[in-house]
Amino acid sequence: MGIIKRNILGLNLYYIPIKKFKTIEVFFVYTNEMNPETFNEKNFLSEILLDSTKKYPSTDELKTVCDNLYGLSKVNYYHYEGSLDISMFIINSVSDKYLEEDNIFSKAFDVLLEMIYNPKKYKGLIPKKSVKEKLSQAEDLLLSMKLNKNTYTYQQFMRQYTRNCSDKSAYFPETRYLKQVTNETISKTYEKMINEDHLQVFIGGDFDFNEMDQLVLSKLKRINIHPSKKYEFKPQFNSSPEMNYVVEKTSSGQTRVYIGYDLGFSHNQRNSLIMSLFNELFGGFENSKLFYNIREKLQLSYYVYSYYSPGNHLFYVNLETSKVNLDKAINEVYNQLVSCQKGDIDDELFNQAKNNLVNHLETTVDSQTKLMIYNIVDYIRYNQSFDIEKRMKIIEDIKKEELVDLIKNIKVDTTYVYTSKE
Amino acid sequence: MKKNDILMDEAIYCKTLSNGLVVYIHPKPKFVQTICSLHVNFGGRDFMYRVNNSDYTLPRGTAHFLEHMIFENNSSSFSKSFIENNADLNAFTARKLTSYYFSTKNNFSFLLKKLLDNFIEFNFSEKSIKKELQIISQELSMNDDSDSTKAYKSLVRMMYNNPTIYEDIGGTKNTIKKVDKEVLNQATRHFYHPKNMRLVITGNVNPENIINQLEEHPFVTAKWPDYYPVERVTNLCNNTRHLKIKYDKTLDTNIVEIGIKIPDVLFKNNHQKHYLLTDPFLEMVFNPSSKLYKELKKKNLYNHSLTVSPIFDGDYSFFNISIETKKPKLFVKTIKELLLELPQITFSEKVFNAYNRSEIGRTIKSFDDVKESHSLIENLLIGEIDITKYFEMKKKIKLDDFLVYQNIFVKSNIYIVEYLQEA
Repeated sequence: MGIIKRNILGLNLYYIPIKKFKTIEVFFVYTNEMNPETFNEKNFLSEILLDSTKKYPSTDELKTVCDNLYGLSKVNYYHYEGSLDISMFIINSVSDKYLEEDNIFSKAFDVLLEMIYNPKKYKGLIPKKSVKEKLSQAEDLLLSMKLNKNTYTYQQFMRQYTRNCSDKSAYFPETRYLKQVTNETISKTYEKMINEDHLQVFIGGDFDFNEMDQLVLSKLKRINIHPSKKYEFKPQFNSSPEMNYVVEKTSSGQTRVYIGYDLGFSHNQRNSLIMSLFNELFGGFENSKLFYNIREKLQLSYYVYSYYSPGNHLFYVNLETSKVNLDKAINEVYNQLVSCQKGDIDDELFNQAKNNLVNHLETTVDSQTKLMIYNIVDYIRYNQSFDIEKRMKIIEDIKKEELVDLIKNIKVDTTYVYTSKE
Repeated sequence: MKKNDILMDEAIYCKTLSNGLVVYIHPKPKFVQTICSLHVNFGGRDFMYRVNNSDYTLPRGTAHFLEHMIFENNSSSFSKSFIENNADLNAFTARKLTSYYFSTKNNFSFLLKKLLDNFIEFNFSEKSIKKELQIISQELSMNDDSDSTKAYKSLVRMMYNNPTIYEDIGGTKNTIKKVDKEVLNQATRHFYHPKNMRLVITGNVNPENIINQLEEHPFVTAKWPDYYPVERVTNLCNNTRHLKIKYDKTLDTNIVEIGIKIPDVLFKNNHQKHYLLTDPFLEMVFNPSSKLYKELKKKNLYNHSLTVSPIFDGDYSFFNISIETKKPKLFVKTIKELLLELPQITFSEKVFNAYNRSEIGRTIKSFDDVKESHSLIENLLIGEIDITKYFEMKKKIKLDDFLVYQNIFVKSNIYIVEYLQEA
């Protein structure tokens, strides 16, 4: 059974019936146009809202309430995809069917609404104390990120890779705009989210649709429903003609390499799936081109993988190696792409990668959260529900020639090397 | 085969096969995936041990090296069948065991057969040993520049003057150079015996069919040599040093690692209860309603890097607190004062009751996911916990049970490592 759409007094509601799990998940998804200048505010806001509320003004009170609801888990997830800014507030509650009490889910839903629509305020604004705490934690986080070389190098690489669209990208904590964060800017961001963002609500699990309709209707007065613009999803990457080669030196340690690519073709669902297939065979599993050649054959690296982000239409390779093997490893990555672009992809590998992708899709049914997220993402990107069968068919129909034709547009945009001084 | 009901609609089947392999099967008929783990009781600590009254040594890192070599056993590509069937095959080495595991949607029986095929005879070529040496050297280098890892290791080394506890599981680049055919043969001879292994399966399987299949497999029907249990002794002598400070100008922030040693009388011959109590105890200590948490927040000492966990590996145990902070001295002073107050405090009954309710929900949720429920069962088995009693015992925990843990918070049990940016 596919997704069930509802519109209850203007609220866009989607039911995803999943009978085999014992929990019900609710996602409140807010979207708007991405703005790097309020990126920090959006991140902080997501956390602040889930810390405490007007009714439960301290962290411990809110925690006790959630614990008493049989471990109600509450999660926030903020990120952006292309031109879209996405804030998600999620609860996962055990279904009443498996408990000895009634109305647990209804109370859980109330807690979610309380967190989003009834934040703790002082004189109409998010309290300064909450914001000060988050700013202090962000400072600590910046230092911790520098300490963790994997996190640090990833961020450094991404800033270089997206240098030509820095007005449309950001990484938390976004230091360019951190100093301008105040409780006033966060409060303004909150009001914008509630009054202007496009809201969609997704509920997944085993429940009766009519009963859920009634439940949502009974709680609607707490939800701010307003006409809102549906924002279009559009990847933003821009390249430049010359390759960007950056070397950053440090006192010691392994050499970390990131190679980011300009894909050179437009983003649509089909291209995105072809690119996912290419990613799998290029560096996505143990038999992939990179793993086989760089690790197994040449022993240049313990791990080497490629990653494709369909949301931002980005593609990169990451590996770790010793300094003495650096040039050899980078050249091998470059060579492997060139060889694929010439069509040197054997049928066995091609079919294996296809089967892997199909298999991953088939196993999504074993995770309620995965199913929810796949549906939400497909609605955001393509305004359609996640159809496993259709997706599998598209993948199975991809021909090698079509893939080679698409990837021949790919070229290196940024090579980032983090290596020791000696 | 014995069936044990662990929850209302969850059961574990257990059987010891004729070759000594113990099999645990947790059927999850509504799920499409099946996950299988083969545990060998051989890990990073096993570089000095006793078998049949004789003492033996191995180069540090042998267990991990052998884990890599199993994928090259008999010059065949172990992974091939799994890749062809879109199964994810992997392995890891811990201090006490090595685990080979796969998950699949298709052809589980066939892949189970392939898994066990690889553990009957062992034959490693010089070429593959040399190849894996290079790869493992790269792997070992990965944490060379991780100051957090170094700080944690300093803590464990300071607390336990026993190399089987603090030595790196993977060894060092020098010690693994000593691994050769002879070393690998010694390791397989002493440890890779079905009586020293365990098989755990979670997913869409019929337990009887699996057992019938296993009983006919050459891994089970083969004539195995006699097995002599491996003896290990862990010396937990107390160290006199309780503080280590290291200065490093290249650090971007300061790292604090704290260990609170748990006396072995609390867990020796009492694994089950110890395993049950340590997590909820820490939950009560660091709950947002606790004085400790509120003090840390008030002084702006709390941040996202703060982690608190019970460490228990059967023969040693401690509570670990770790943080990356701009205010290391204030953090250490504050937390030490608060920890030393623990023997006198009374935990909130209200918070404890709420915690118990949340545990009911968490247990239900963990069985809603094949991977999570497999991981839960595995961890209980690795911790030598009786699964059949675990969930019932969990419901019977009382606040009074925590008193013995509160009383360990005295100066002689607290160890601190500080990695500081400057003096």
